[in-house]
Amino acid sequence: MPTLQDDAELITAAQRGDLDAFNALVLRYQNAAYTTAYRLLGEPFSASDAAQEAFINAYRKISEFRGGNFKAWLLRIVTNGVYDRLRYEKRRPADSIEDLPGADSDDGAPLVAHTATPEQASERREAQQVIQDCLGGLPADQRATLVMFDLEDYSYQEVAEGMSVQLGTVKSRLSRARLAMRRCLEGKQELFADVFRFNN
Amino acid sequence: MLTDRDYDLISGYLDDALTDSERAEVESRLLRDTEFAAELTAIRHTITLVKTLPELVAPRDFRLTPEQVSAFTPMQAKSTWTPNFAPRLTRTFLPLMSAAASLILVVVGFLSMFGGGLTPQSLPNMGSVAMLASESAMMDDALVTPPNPAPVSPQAMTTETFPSGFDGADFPMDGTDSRFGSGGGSESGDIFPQLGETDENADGAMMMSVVQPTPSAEVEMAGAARSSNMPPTSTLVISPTATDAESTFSMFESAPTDEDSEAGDTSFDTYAYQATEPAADTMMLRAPSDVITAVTEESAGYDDATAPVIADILTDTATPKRVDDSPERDITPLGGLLLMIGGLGLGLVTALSRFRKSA
Repeated sequence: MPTLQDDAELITAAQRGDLDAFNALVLRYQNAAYTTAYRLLGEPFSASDAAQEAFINAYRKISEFRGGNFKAWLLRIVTNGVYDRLRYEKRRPADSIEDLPGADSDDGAPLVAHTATPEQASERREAQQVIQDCLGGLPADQRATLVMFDLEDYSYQEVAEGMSVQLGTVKSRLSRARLAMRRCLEGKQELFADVFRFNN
Repeated sequence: MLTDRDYDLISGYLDDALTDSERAEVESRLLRDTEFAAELTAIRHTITLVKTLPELVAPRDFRLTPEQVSAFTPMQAKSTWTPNFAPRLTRTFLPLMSAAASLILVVVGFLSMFGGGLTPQSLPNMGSVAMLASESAMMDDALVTPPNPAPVSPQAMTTETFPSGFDGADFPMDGTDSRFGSGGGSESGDIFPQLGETDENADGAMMMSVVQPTPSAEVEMAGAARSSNMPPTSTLVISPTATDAESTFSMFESAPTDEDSEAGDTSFDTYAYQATEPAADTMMLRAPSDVITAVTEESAGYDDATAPVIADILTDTATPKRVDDSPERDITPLGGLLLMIGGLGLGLVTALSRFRKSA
């Protein structure tokens, strides 16, 4: 498990132009970067492109990194890049959840990092796909707010800065996003195993 | 039914982001409002479900390749390109040469814009002489009949000849030369009144002429007009009589302007002419159309024994083209403007370059 010191050493080397050192950081955080992109985009190919683009941007901006949590800094780059893409797509006719490639079971959900029994893995995968579908059905700004705050553990202030909005807007969007997710998941309770059921 | 504010309070309560008064309000409602409490539980559960979403495995390796980052480096320094010249030469002579080039461009451009274009007259060393359009273009034009000339008295004509011994063969044959200058004094200050009505005459550049045909030579009189303002040309084809066989050339002369006449200056400037290959029976006079008209009118005043017989008049209605063997060409005002802009731009770049170096 890499330590913060390890990251610092790699970051320092990367800031001197050491591509191998930066690629070591990529290997450590590429799953997190891809996951964030996938949660926001809901589609594996676009998420993969977004993650790659984020690493390129991170390499370009590595000299601007002033210490702290590199993962949080990297995921902010991912989120900002994806959020820009979502805002762009928001101006285009929106696809329904069913039309999204990620919503099609034939496309297959991305592999999870943790292993489980086949049955458990199937249940989790199904439940996670429902959650992902509900997430993908949110408006882009609400989805980004929810992912940043509830999945990436951003603070209100960090979300506000990342999305260039007021703090009150973040709270409002988060509240609306949670309510929409609650209603979406409530309508699909039968798909969850007992552990996921609301009425437990 | 819960309101948006209720859900904001629930969300903030779950995030521990409420003020003390808001927290107290929520806790109070949880005790007495079951719907509010149920919604808070549902939202909390929703958050838990969302957080169960696992970290995914990247479908591929996102490590960067040297090719992907070849366009930039993290510590990329601002590169400054320096010409690969000797530093001393670059520092010392290049700015001076640039400044000189800039000055030349500006001056030439200025002259071109406000001096009527670069001409052999404005730049005498350029060594070019403007000529009219090619013979082929002239001869391809349709034959036209001149307008009925008003009879002109023979006494009104001025006769001018070249010194004896001069013949057409000594004239340039390649159309690259012409002669300017005085053709001799006038014997009469009585100028064709109709010529005075032309613009050229008003400028003092028009002429009257006497044709001395020769049976042994064909002479083309080329109206090589004053370089930049050339009138349309015509060619007068003359069948000469045999009574003046010793004459070997013809010439046109420019008539003095009214102002010149009033000042007592009745000398004529030879307008322009060009000898061509000798021919047997005809003579061709090529000159501005106005001049041809004047010659036609003159011929009406000759007696039968000496007057040339005008066979045809070939009118070149097209704007005369300048024929110039030298590489230099006239520079239009637009070209002058571009030269000035180029010169100023070069000077500005040079100045900025010096300023940045000194800074």
